[in-house]
Amino acid sequence: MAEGENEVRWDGLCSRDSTTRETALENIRQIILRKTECLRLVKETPYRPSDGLSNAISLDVLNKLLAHLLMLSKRCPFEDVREKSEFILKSVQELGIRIPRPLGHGPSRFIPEKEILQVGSEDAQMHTLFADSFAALGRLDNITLVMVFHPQYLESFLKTQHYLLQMDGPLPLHYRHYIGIMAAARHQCSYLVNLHVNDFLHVGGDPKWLNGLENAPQKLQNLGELNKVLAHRPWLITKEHIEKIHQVQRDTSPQNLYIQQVSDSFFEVEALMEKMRQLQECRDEEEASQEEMASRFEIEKRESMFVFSSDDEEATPARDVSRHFEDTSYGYKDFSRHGMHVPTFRVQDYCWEDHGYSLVNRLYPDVGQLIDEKFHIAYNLTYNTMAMHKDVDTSMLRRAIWNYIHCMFGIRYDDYDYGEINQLLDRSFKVYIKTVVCTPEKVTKRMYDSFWRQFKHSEKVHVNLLLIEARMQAELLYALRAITRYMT
Amino acid sequence: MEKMSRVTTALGGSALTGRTMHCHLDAPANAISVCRDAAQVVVAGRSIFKIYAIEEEQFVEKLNLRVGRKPSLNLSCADVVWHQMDENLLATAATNGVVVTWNLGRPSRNKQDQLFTEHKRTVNKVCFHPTEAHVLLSGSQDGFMKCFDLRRKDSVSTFSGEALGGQSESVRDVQFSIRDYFTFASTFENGNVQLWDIRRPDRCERMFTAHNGPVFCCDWHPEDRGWLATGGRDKMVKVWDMTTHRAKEVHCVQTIASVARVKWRPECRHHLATCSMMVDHNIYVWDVRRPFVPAAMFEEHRDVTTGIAWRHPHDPSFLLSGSKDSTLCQHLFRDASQPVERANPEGLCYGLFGDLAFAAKESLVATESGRKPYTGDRRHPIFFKRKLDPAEPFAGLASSALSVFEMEPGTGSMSWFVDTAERYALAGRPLAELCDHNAKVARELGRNQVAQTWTMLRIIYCSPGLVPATNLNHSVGKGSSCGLPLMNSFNLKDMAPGLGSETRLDRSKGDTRSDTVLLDSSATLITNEDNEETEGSDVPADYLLGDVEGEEDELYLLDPEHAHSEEPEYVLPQEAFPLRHEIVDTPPGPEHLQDKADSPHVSGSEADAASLVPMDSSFSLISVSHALYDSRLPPDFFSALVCDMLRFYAEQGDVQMAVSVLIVLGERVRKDIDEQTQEHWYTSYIDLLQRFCLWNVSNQVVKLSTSRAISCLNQASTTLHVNCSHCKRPMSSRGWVCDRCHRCASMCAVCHHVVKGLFVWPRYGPGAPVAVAEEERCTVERRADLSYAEFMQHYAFSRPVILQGLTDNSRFRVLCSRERLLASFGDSVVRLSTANTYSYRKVDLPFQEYVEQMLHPQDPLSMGNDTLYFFGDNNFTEWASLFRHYSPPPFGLLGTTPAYSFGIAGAGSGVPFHWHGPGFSEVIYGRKRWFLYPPEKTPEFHPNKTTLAWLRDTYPALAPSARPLECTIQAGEVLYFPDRWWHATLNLDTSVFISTFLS
Repeated sequence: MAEGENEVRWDGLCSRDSTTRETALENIRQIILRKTECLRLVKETPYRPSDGLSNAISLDVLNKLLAHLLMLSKRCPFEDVREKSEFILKSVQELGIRIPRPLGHGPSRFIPEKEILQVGSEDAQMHTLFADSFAALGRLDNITLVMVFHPQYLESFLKTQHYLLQMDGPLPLHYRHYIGIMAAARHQCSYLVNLHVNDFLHVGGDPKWLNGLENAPQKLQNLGELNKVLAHRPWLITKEHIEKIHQVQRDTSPQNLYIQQVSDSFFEVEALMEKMRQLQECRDEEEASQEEMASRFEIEKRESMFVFSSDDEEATPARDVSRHFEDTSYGYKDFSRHGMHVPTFRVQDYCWEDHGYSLVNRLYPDVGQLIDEKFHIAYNLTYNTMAMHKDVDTSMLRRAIWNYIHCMFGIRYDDYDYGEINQLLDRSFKVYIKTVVCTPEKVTKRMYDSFWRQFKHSEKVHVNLLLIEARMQAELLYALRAITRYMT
Repeated sequence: MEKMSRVTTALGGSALTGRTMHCHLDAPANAISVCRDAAQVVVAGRSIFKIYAIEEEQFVEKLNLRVGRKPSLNLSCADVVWHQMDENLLATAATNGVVVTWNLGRPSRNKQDQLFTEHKRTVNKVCFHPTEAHVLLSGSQDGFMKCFDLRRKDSVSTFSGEALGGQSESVRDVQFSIRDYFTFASTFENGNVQLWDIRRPDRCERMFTAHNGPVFCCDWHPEDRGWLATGGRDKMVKVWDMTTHRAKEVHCVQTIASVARVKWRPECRHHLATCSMMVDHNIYVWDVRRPFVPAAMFEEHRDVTTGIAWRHPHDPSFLLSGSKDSTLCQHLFRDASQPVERANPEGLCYGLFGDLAFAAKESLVATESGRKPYTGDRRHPIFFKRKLDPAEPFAGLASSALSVFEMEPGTGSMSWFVDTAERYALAGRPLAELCDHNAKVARELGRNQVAQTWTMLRIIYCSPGLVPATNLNHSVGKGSSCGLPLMNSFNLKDMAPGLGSETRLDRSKGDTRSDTVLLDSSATLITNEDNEETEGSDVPADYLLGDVEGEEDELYLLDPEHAHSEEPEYVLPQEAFPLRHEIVDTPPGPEHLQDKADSPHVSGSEADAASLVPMDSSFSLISVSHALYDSRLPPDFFSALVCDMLRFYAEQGDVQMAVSVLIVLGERVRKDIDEQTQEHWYTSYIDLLQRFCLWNVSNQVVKLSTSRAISCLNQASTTLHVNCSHCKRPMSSRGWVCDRCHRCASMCAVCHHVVKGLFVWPRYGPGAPVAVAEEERCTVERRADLSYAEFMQHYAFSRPVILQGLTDNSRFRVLCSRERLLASFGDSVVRLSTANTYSYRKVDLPFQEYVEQMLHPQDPLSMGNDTLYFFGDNNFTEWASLFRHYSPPPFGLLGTTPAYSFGIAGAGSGVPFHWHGPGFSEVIYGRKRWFLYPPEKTPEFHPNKTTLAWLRDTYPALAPSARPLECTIQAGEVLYFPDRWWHATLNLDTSVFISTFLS
C-alpha cells in the first residue's frame, strides 16, 4: 500500500478558507472509506493467518483516525468540519465498523459540561480565538474551552503559547515540547503530557526520548534538576543551577538564550499544566481513583489548617508519566517550614516590572512583552462583579490572592499588610489555593466545590487564572534572579 | 586604579578637589543624594542609611541614621533626597509606603523628624521643592502623588495619576521643575508623563505618552527651562521640549538596557548621565545629539548602579554613584573611558547595484598621497563640522572618511537578474518542460550560456528524442564567448591601502567616479551620500550585465522587443504559502520530482565523465547532438559534472543559476553537493531576491528548498504590527483597542464605530480613504439548521433571518472567483443599474471592463444615481452555465417562483433603501451589511444618496429606537427578507452575491 496515498493530512482543516477545508475533508473521507473497505474485505474473506497482524494494525490505524474525527466533530470551531466529520463517522458506522464514542466528560471535571460554552455557540470574538487556536494547534484543547470564559486572557495566553512553542526561537521545536513534557510530568498531568507527546512526535521528535529522560540528550537531562526545583521549590534555585546548565552548553553556542528559553518555555508550560490540572483534571478513569484517595487524605489533613506536607503523601504517580522525570518523591514543601534558612525574597528588590521583564526581553526578545501582558491581564481582569453583586471593586481581593500565593513561595511585599489575607480569604479557599498552586495534581472536585459556593464557575476559573499567573510569576522571579546573579 | 588624576575646580570661591575613588558600604544602596555643600553624600538602601563626607582622598562615614534596635521597614529606603536649600533636611521614601523626613540639626541620636503614612504602597520617589523650604513631594506605587508641607502633619494635596476612568497607574518619578515655581512632572508605569500645577490637584495640566512601558525616571534640564529628559524600560532616553503646546521629542538616545536614572550634566548643555536597572552596570554620559555612542563611560561597578548624582550643580567633572554591589564611588570625568576610542570606524557595504561604500578612519585614508578629501558640491551638505566644545575633549576623534565606488554605468544593471528570477519556472511541471522554459527565458534575456546549460540539462536528464529540434539548435548552435555575469567589475583604484593590497580590476571603458568624503563623526550623512550614489547608477542599461555584446549575437537573432513580449507561462500560486500551514520540520521535496526520485544515488566515482563536456570557454565548440548522448548512459553518469557546473556558476557569482538548477533537478544532484554549500547558495540567492523585493520568488525558493535551515525561514508566521493612532504605541493585545490610552484606535469614518477588521481602502477617487465597519451589534437572528416548518412559522412572514449551513455553494464559489468569471464571461455585456432608490438608469458594458474599471471602492461623496452597480438584469441564457451550479435556499413560498439576481460590486457600494417582494440574498465572496426596517416603518433617507452617505450622515443621529435591524452577512450566509421590508445594503468588501427573489 503506498503510504503517501493513504496518509491522512489534517492540516487542511485548519484553513480559514472553507473550500480548502472541504477538499481536505473529502480527502479524509475517501481515505477512511478505503481503509474501511479494506478491512471489510479482509473480514469477509476466509481466514488467512498471515493477515492477522496487519489486520490488527490497520484496524488500530483506522480507530485512531476515527477518534480524531470524533474529536473534530465535537471540537472544531468550523461548523462545516464538525458536520462533515460526523457524517463520515456515520457512514463508517453504516459500513458495520464500530465507531468510538465520546467518553462523556466535558473539558473540565469540576465544571458541569452544560455550564461550559459549547463549540458552535460562541460569539464572534470567541470564534476568532477558537479559529486561531485551531489553526495553530489543529485542535481545541480542554484548556482553551475552559479559559474561553475569559476571552481577553485566553487571547493573550494563546499568543504567548504560540510564540513560545511554535514560533522561531533558539530551541528546536521538539526540544520545546520535550521540556513541556518534563514540566507537565512533574505535576503528573497526563493530559498535558499527552498533548505534548503528540506535538513532540509531530514536529519530528525522536520517540526514543519518550522512554525516559535518560534517553534524551544531555542538555535536556541537565534541565531535569532545574525543572524539579522550579516546579516544587523555586526558592531553592541558585546561580549554581544555572551555572551547571550553562557549562554543559557552553560549547553549543548562544548559551544565554538557551537557558532562558528553556526556563521560559517550561514555566509557561507549567502554568498551562496547572490550568489543566485544576480545570479539567485528566479524563482517565484509572487515575481518578488514585486522586480520590489522595484527596480524602487531604480532607482529613485539613484539620491542621492548610498546612499539609507532601512527605506524607503515598500515591506515586502513574508510571507512564513518571518516566519523564526523576526523583518522584520530590515535591512541594512549605516555604516556611523546611529546614534550611532561605532569605525572604523581597519584591521591592527584584520585581517583574523592573527587573524580570528586562532580563527576559533581553534573553528572548518579545517574550517579556507577551508575559508582561499576560500578567497584567490576569491581575487586572475584573468584571466588577462578585457572585450576584455588581459594581464591586475586586482589586483588594485580587491583590490578597496574588500576595498570598507569593507569600507561600517566600516572596514578600514590603507595602502589604498580610493581615488582610486572613480577613479576605477563608479557610476552604486557602486550602484550595494552596493545593492548586503547590500540588495541583491533588485538587479534587470537592475542594473545588467547597470554596465560594455562591460564585459562578466563570469566577472560579478567573481565580484559577490568577493563581497560575501568580505562581508563574513567583517561579520566574526566582529563576530570573538566579540568572541575574549568574550573569553578574 | 591606574589612571587616577586629581582635579581641582574653582567654583566661585569654594574649590572642589578629589580623585576617582570608592568606598565599601555594608549593604546595597538604592539611592544617593548630595548635600548642597558638595562635601557630603547620603546613601540609602534597604538596610543602610548613612552620610559620608567626601574628602580629597576618601569617603569618610560621618553619620549613621539607622538607629534603634529593631530595624523598621520605615527605614528600608527606596529613595532619598537632600534638600538643596537646607543642609539639615533630608527625606526618604520607604518601601512600605512611609515618607520620612530627617532633621540633622536634632540634638538626639535619632534624627527622624516626621513620618507620613498616607501612601498605601511603596513610595518610589521623594522630591523637595528647589526653592521652597517646606514643600516635599512624593510619588507612590499606589498611583498617587502627595504634596506635604513640612510644617503640617498631613499632606496638603493629593494628585491622582489615574488615567481617564482607568485604574491608577504607579508613579515612578516626580520632579519639581527648576524654573517654574508651581510645576512638577511625574512619570508612570504605563509610559505616560504628566505635568502638574501644584495648585491644581484636580487634574494634570498636560499628559503625554513618552515611552513604551514604564517611565522610570525624569530630570528637568538645569538651564533650558523647557527640557525634560525621561528614561524608560524601553531602553530609551528621550528629551522633550515642554515649552511648545504639545510636548515635542527633541532627542532620543538608545541605550542597551532599561534606564533607571537620568541626570543632566551641569554646565554641559547636551550631556546627561544614565544608569540601568538590569544587566548593565555601567554609567554612561551621553551627548544627546550623538545618540549612538556614549561620550563617556564609568565601569567601576560590579552590580547595577542604583543612584547617580553630580556632586556640584555647577561642576561637570565629579559624578557620585551608589550601587547594588555595596559601593559608593566618585567618578572623575577625566578618568572615564571613552567608547569612541574603541569604536571601529571602518565600514563596508555593497549597494544593490554593485556599488561599494567604504568608510575608514580619516587618518588611515589621509595618509595616502595624492588624494584630496571630497569637498562637496552636492545638493546635500556633506560636511558639518561641529565646533569644538571644551567639554568634549574627544570630539573629532572618530571622524572617518567615506569612499564610494560606483559601478560603471550599465554594468550595474541587474534587470537580467530580476527578469530571470521572475520568469524562471522551478517546479510544478515535468523536468523537461522546466528546462525548456528556463532555457527560453535565458535566451530571451540574451544569456546564451545559461540557456545552453538548461538545454543540456534537459538532454542529460530527460529521455532522449523529445528535444524539439529547433530548440536544440538554437541553444546549442549559438557559440559564445559569452562571459558569465561578472558582478565585480567596478573600479577599485581608490581603495584605501588599509584595506589590503591595491586591487585593480580596471576592465571598464567608462569613467569611474570615486569620491572620498571627509565626514565628521556624524554617521547619518553616510547614508545620505550612499543613497545618492546609488541613484546615480540606476540608469537602465541597453545591454545586460555580463553578456558581452558580441558579433556572434547576430548569428542568433534576438529581438529584444519580442523577448519580453511573451508572457511568462507559469503562474505563481496566489498565496505565497498556504494561509496557515502546519509546521513540519522536514518539508517534502518538490512533488513533481517524486517520480524520478528513485534513481540511484550517484557517487563521485564517475567524475571522469567530466571529460565528456569540458566546462570552459571552448564550450561553444561542442556541437551536441543525439549521437553524442548514448541513451543507455544513465543520467547519473553526469551528476558529478553537473555539480561541478553548479559550483562553477556559483563561483562566478551567478548563484541564481546554481540554486535554480538545484531546485529543478532536485534529488538528482542534491546528494552530491554538501548541505552546507547548498545552504550557502540558497541564503545568498534569497538575500539577493529580497534586496530586489522579489518576495514571492524568494518565498517560492524557500518553499522549494530541501535544506532544513532554509525551509524553516518561512515557518515564522506573518505578523502585522499595529500602532495606536493616538499615542503611537504598538497595540499588542488587540488590534483595535489601545491598552495605554484606552481608546479605540481607528473609528469608522462613516458610522463612528470601531473598526475591528482591516478594510482600509486604497485611495481611488477624490474622497479620502475610509474604512467601513461592521455593525456594532447584529440584530438579526442567525439560525443554523432551521427546519422549513420553523421557517414558515417564525420568519417567512414576520421577520428577517440569517440562514447558515442550509446549502453548500462552495462549488459555485469556486466558479465565481475573479479569474474564473473573467475567463468565462469577460466578454459578455452586462447591464449596470444606478444605485438609487427609484429611477434606474441602465448602462451596458462588457463584464471585463466593469470588473477592471468600476470595482473600485465607493467614493463617499458621489451620488447614488451616479454610481453604477452590477446587480440583476442578468442575461440568463448567457450566464446559465454559472447559475445552474447555484443551489438556492430550499425554502420556497407558496405561489412564488424563484428568480436569480447575480451581482458583483466594489467595497462601499450598495443599494439605498427600497422594498420589494420576499427573497433570499447570499454572499459568495466578501461581506454585505444590511439595514432593514419593517414595512410600516419608512426610513428617513434621500433616494439619490448612497447607502454609504446615509450611514455617514443619517445613521449616527438615529435614536436607538429608530435604528434599523442590521447585520453583516458573510460568505456562505443567506439572509431572508420578508415581503415589503425596507432594506438598504452596503458591500463592506468587494463582494459577489446572488439573490433569489420569490415573486
